[in-house]
Amino acid sequence: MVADAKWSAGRLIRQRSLRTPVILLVILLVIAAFHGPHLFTSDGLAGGLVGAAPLMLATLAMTPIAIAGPAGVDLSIGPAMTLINIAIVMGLPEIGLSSPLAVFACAIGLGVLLQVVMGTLIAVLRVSTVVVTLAVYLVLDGMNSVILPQSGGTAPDWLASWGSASTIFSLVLYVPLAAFVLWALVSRTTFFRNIRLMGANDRTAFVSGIPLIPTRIGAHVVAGVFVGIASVMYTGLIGSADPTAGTPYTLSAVTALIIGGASLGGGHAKGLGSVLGAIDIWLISYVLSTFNFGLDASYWVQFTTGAVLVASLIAGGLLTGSSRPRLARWRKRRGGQAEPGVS
Amino acid sequence: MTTIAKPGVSQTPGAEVVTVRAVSKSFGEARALRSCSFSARAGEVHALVGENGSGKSTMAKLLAGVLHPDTGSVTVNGEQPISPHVAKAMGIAVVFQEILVAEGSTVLDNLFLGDDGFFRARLPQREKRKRAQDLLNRLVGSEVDLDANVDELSLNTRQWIVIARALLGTPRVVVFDESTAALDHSSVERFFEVVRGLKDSGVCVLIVTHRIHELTAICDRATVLSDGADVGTLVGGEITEAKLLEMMRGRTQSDAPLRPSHQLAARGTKVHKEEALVAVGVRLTPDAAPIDFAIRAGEIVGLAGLEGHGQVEFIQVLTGFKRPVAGQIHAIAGGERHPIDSAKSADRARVAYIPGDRKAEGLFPNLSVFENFGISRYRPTARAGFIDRGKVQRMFLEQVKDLSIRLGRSNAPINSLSGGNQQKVVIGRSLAAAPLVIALNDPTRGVDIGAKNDLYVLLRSLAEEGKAVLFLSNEIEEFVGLCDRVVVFRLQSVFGTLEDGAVTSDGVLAAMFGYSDTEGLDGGRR
Repeated sequence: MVADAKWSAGRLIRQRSLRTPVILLVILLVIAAFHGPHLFTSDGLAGGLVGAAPLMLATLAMTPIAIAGPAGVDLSIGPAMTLINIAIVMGLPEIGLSSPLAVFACAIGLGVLLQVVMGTLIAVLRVSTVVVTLAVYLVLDGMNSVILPQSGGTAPDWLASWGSASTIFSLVLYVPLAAFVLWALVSRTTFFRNIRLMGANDRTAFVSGIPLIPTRIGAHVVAGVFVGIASVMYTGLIGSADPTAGTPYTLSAVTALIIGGASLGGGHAKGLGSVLGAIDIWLISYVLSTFNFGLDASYWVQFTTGAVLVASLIAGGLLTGSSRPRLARWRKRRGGQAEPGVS
Repeated sequence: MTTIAKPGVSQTPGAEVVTVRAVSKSFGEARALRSCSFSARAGEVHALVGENGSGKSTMAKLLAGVLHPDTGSVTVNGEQPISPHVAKAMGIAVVFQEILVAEGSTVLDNLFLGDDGFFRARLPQREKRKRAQDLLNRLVGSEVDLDANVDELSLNTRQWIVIARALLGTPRVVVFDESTAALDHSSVERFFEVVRGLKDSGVCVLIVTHRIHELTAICDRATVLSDGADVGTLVGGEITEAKLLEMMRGRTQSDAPLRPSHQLAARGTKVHKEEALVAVGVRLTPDAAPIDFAIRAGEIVGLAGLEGHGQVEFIQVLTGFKRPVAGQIHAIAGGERHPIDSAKSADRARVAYIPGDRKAEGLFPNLSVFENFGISRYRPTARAGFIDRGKVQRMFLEQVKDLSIRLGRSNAPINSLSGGNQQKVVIGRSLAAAPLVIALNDPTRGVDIGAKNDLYVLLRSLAEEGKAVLFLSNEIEEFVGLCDRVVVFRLQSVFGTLEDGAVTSDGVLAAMFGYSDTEGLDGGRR
């Protein structure tokens, strides 16, 4: 059947947009194997997955918005995760709720609400995604510090224990797994295909009868669900409420999205690519932490991530062939000038 | 043959399906349709015919629900297509002039674009693949990979994909807006079969086309549009080439807006000097006939053709803005040949291109009049890399005077000028570089009559100074009395060249539609 062929390893590598994140992953894993083999123990792998899960899910949340395009970058994700983190740790206990169901419902509800507001502004007023999400980033970032001037509180026990998972069979690891299954299902719906086609060419989609406004808002609803799940995982990871610690997720997730092969022009981004990109970003900091940079470590992480981003874009251009015509012209011109009497 | 599209819905053959009543539609100042009416029936092939800009494509967009009429009504089976989504549900399928595909997506996704509901596919995937494969194989005439990326397919195949998209939905009304433009010759025959199949199954087929022989071959009725209004409907045997041309011309002669011939004195003896720009063996598309062309200093040559027949590409190729598929272009200055293969080399060879779409290519709308003028002059006049503002200023004032550009302050935004004066700024910018060849791409579009007149006088005086002037226009009238020659394009190549006395609006129009039997047309390529 077609579906089987689609998931063979060879096909995976042949999917051009996935080449860069897969190659990067292999390189990072090789370095990790030599420099930090602890990662390959059951305990290390569990810790790694718990550490990487919020970023994986945040990047996954950005993916439908990137697909809906154009320039669909959601900058609000970091502060949105922070806000939901505060709501879970400080808000819910006040009304006496802390069960897993209540936490997930609150997180996903808030995530979807925020995204629907942004999606409506973007779709109805036709304001660019970057502008709307930047505004929401600023509003939420400010608001978070007003609500919670300094970090504090503790996550519900069951959630806090997730953060210290010690085997790959810990319950916590089923959450990202469930999220991936959800993604796999959603991305196979007609609705999701409409998002993709709208991103590829919104004019064609419109004249072909795809209703653009609900489709675009729908993309944000999907994003909101994953923002919610990402926030729960993030809360489990830090075990408390923090007014600023979630904010850097915005830039990390954008980086992961791009390394994962998403096209910011719209129409082309894969959930698998985003997850791989997020793992790559997490691995970069893991690998660097095995070197001894001391207090400068976080600067080195930033520096390296930036360098890897640029390198992967260049490599991506070569691997996917999008730079080839230009390269060919350049070679031809050089070859042409070498001939006597042309200039 | 087997019917390609199943009837899907029963429509009594002969019943009126499409009703357009007194529809007007304007875009800003431009009136695309003025009180246009016609109707089309089930089981008929109905053509909409007219010159460029007569409102045919606007009509297609109204039927598709993409646009809405300002006044009047468009109804299909009594309902109004208020959005593309609704139009689709009503069984209206429109194949647009542009080949609208979702780039980077598969053939299959493109075929069923907009077909699925929000949460549920209308057809199971297996059924989709089967139907799509059957239809597409029949249309294209060879196996098409449904999982292929549409970007990698030929134009011909992509055109078939958008046609197939319309047919897969079992439509009641199908509108083909210039849908054969990108099809190759053998495909056109298959397209006709498709149309006949649709007709036989009771579908109402509307065809918008420039190709008159298509109409005579396949249409039951034809409505002629002229300047946004319907000027009559021909039935069956009445649809002849002569009759259609006559109806299209009807208006052109009666209330022609302005003829340069009325404004300009007849030219004296022509001094045909040496050639200024030569094109040899230029092909615009791989399968188009090659073009040989030359323009002499002091000559005004018109470029004409129906939209999309290659004249715009040719003027861009001549001026280095586009590369031809094959062939060479040389400018000749002072006995020396300068090859042109880029905008830069054209600039060096003193060939100036004045773009047609002022807003998109010619102007920086946020900058001042002076900045817009100076933008290409700063570099050549700069001293050691520093802008010599005084020098540019002097050039600017000179052009303002020469072209009688009416402006308030030179640092006012360019948008504060009228269309005609904006155009003069663009032209002045090119003239300041003292070009030998000036190529104008439809310079009078959106310009008022007085400014048009100024422009004709200017072009004539430039020619008299010994410059070679290439003048592309969509208004046939403009060639008469202004141009020494008019080169008419058809099917991405030169169809014929009309000279001197043969430059008449009837002659040019006939040639545009592919008739060479008119007196004075030399029929061949130079």
